[in-house]
Amino acid sequence: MAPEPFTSDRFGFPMLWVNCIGAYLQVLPVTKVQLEYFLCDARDGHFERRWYDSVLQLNPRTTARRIWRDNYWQAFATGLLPSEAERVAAWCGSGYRLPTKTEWVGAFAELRAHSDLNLLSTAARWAKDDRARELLGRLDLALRDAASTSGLRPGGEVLSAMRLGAMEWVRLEFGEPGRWGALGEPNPRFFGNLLVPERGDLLTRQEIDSERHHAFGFRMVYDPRVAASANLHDDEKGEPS
Amino acid sequence: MKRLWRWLFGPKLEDDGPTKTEHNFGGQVPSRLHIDDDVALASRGSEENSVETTEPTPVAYLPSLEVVSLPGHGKTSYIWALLYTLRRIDFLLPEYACWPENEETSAAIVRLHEAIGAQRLPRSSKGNAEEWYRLLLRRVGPYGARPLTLRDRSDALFSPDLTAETEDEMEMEDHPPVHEAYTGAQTVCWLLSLADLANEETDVLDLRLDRLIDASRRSQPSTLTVPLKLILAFSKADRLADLPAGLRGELKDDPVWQAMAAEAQVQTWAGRRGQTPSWGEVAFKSYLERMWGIHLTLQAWFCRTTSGRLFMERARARQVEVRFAMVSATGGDALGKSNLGMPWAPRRVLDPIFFSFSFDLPWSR
Repeated sequence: MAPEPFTSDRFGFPMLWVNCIGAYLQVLPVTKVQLEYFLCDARDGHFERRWYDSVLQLNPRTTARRIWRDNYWQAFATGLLPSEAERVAAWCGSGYRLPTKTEWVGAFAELRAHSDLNLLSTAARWAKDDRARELLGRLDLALRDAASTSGLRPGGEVLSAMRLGAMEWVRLEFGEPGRWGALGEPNPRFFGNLLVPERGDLLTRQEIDSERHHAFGFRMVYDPRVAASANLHDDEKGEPS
Repeated sequence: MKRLWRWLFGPKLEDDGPTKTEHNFGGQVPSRLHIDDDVALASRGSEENSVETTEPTPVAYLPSLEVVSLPGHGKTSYIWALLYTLRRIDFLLPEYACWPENEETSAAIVRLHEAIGAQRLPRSSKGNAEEWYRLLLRRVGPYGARPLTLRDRSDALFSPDLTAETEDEMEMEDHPPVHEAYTGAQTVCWLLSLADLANEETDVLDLRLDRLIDASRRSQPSTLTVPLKLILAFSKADRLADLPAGLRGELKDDPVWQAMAAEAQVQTWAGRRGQTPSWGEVAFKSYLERMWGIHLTLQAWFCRTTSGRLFMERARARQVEVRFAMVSATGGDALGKSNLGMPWAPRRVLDPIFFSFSFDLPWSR
C-alpha cells in the first residue's frame, strides 16, 4: 500500500513522504515552537533555561505574527549541536533520526521537482497543532517574498526552506571527513554563502560538531518501518510502546 | 565585438623583448625564469633587486590600483584573496608567472598564504599601519606583462563623518590624514559592501564619490588632471540577498575558483600538478566577456535605486569612468570570530584587476 503523502510528527507538525529516502521528512527545519514543546517535556538536565538562553543569543526568538521576509529564520531552532539534535530525535520516539548527506541531497532534488507549488498550505492541513498552522502560513508568505527578492522560483526546495532556510546538520557516511556536516543554502542575510546544494556542497571540518553556529539547525527523518518494528519488539517483550 | 575586445584588453604590453636579463627577485623566481626587458623597465626601480646593486635606492611608489573602502567592508580580505589567487593561477594561464618584487612583499605573501591555509581572517587595519605589495606579473593573457603595486591601509577618505568640511575635521584617531590617505593612483577600486551599509549611508554614496574625486585631483601633481577611473566592486557579494539570481550564479560558478578547487583536488589525490586544463585565448576571452556582462548587469541593478542613479549621475558629471564588479573574498560568512572555519573560496577577485589593466596606458621605453 502506498504511504500517505503527509503525516505529522510528535509535535503535530507536518512531514512529507520522500521517495528517495523511503521515509517521511519534516516539511520545515525544526522550529523554536517544536523545540519549546520538547524543552517543556524533556527530563534531560542538559536542556535547562540557561542552555536555551545561550541558544537564543545566537538566533533570537520571534513570534509567528512578527515573521516576515527579513527575519523568518528566527523561527527555526538553530545553534544546536548535532548531539543535541539527536537527543531531540530520540525524544520523538523510534524511527526518528537526522538524515544522511545522500538523503538530504536526494530530498532536495525531489522537492525541487515537486509539482505542488502550494506545499506549505497543503502540508498545513496535516498539522495537528494550531501554532503549527499559523507558523506554516506565515513562513509560506515570508519564504515566497524572500524568493521573489532573490529572483528565485518558489519551488518545493524554497518553500521547505532547504534553500533560503538554515544550514542543516546531516550525518556523514563512511569515507567522509568527520561524522557531521551541514548542508543548505541559507538566506544570505542570515548566513552569507555561495553554496550549491544541488552539488552537495558541504560545510564540514574537524570539530565542527563541537561549536555552536547561529545558522545551523536540523530537520528529522521519520521511518515508519523502523517505528513499527520497534513497537513489535516492545510488544514481544510485553513493554508498553 | 572587436571594439569590445580592444576595450577589454586595452593596450597590450609586448613582453617578448629580444634581450633577456637575469635578475634576482627576492629568491622567488624559478632558476630557469628570465625576465623580459619590458618587465624590468616597467617594474620602476627594481634595480635594487638586481645582482649587481648592493645598496637599495629608496623609490617613491605609487599603487597601480588604489583599493579604498569604508571600515569593515573587507579591504584586507580582498587584497589577501587577490594576492592568493594571483599566486595560485600559474597552472591556468600558459607561461604566466607572478613573483614578488622585493623581500618585504615576499615575506608578506608567505604570511598571508599561511594565514589563508589556516583559515584565519585578517585583523582590521588601524592607525598608520600599512602594507605594500609589489608584484611582477608575466603573460597575464592578452594583457601581457604587468607590474602590480597595492597598498593596504585604513582610509580616511571614507571617514564616517561626512559633514566634516576640512581635512583637520576629517582626521580621526584611528585614521591617517586625508592628504596622506590617497597616493594619486589614477585607477581606484572602491570596495563597497552593500550588506553592511545602513540606509542613511546608502543615501550619501554620491557625496562619498565627490570626496574621492576631490582627493584624487588634489593628489595629482600636474594641473592637467586625468579623469579618475573607478571600479566599484561590491564586496562580500555572498551576503547580498537581493542580488539577481544570474549574478549569484556567476559568483558560484566562477571559473577561476572552480579551476583552483579542481587543481587542489588533483594535488591532494595525485600529489602532482598540471592535471587541470589551462586556459587558451578563447577561454580567457570568454572570461572577460562574462566580466563585461556582469558589469552591465550590476550597473542596471545598482541604478534601480535612487542612490544608485544619483551616484551614476555624479560620476558622469565629473567625468569618472565607472566599471562594476562583485567580489567575495572568502566565499561565505565566518563560522568563528577570528577564524573563517572553512577553506577560503575567493570568487571573481580578479575582475577589478583586469578592469584596471584595461584602463592602463601603455608604457614606453
